[in-house]
Amino acid sequence: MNALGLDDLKILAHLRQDSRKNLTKISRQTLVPISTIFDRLKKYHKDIITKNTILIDFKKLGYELKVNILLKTSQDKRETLRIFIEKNWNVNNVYRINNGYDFMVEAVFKNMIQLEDFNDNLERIGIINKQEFYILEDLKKEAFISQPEFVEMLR
Amino acid sequence: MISEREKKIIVELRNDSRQDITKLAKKYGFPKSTMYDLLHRLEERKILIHASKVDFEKLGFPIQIFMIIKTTLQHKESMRRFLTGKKNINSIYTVNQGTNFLFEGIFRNQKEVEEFLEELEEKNPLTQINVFNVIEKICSEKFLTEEEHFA
Repeated sequence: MNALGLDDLKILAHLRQDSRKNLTKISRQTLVPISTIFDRLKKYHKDIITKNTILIDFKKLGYELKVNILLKTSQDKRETLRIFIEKNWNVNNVYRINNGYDFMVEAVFKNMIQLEDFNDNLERIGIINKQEFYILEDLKKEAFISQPEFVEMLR
Repeated sequence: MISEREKKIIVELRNDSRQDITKLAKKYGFPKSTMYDLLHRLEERKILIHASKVDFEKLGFPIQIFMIIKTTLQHKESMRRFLTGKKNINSIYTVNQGTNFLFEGIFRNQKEVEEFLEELEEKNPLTQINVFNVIEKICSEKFLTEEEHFA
């Protein structure tokens, strides 16, 4: 069960939908006093809210390729691989996963040459298994708990 | 395609989208109105949307999974409708030929996952399904959090 109440979930849903939404608007829409929202935000910061960010349509900035890559390496190379993907500029999201792979990496590239360079570097580390998925379209992004009107269903 | 000023505002907001625009304008020596205009233009062109990322585990949803599924060409649309209508799905992408979907689900427990999978398979003809549990989130929305990334 959630340790947080319905008001908390509603406030968070508003911020998930628009992290720049001002507190007056959230207060009006949730009927939670501004002072309470202000206090809750302090409580959420760096704990429940891990990052207030912007989600970018990379294609519109000239990055034509968004790729999800599943990677498996040997145990002795896992740390090297982790450091490489963590530090690589093109990498956007990284997860440690199970079911036959070590990492799921989402990376963004301007063109195939950049992707090939990235793949060459991976090969140098030593990859046992790899699967690439080219993302054609984002159908939904960060949608979970982003609709204040539906949060009650989640409790 | 994108100006130096736009790059600065993107990097700043990637790191903290609740930042005060007036303070940012002061930091870079731009007029406040220019900063607001830049932001509004980026929003209008739908280049960016503002979103708070949360730790779902702390909200009572400790299970995060990625699934890669493949359906037939004639069931592509119904699959799309099924997935977009599901409340537990956080992100969905069409991949490769468009008959494959990669999506991220957030669940309270394994029972919810099983129920979801049962419904998915019952209502949609799948030719392939792969499920990956997230053990650790290593980094999130990291690209373009520094100006060098634009290089």
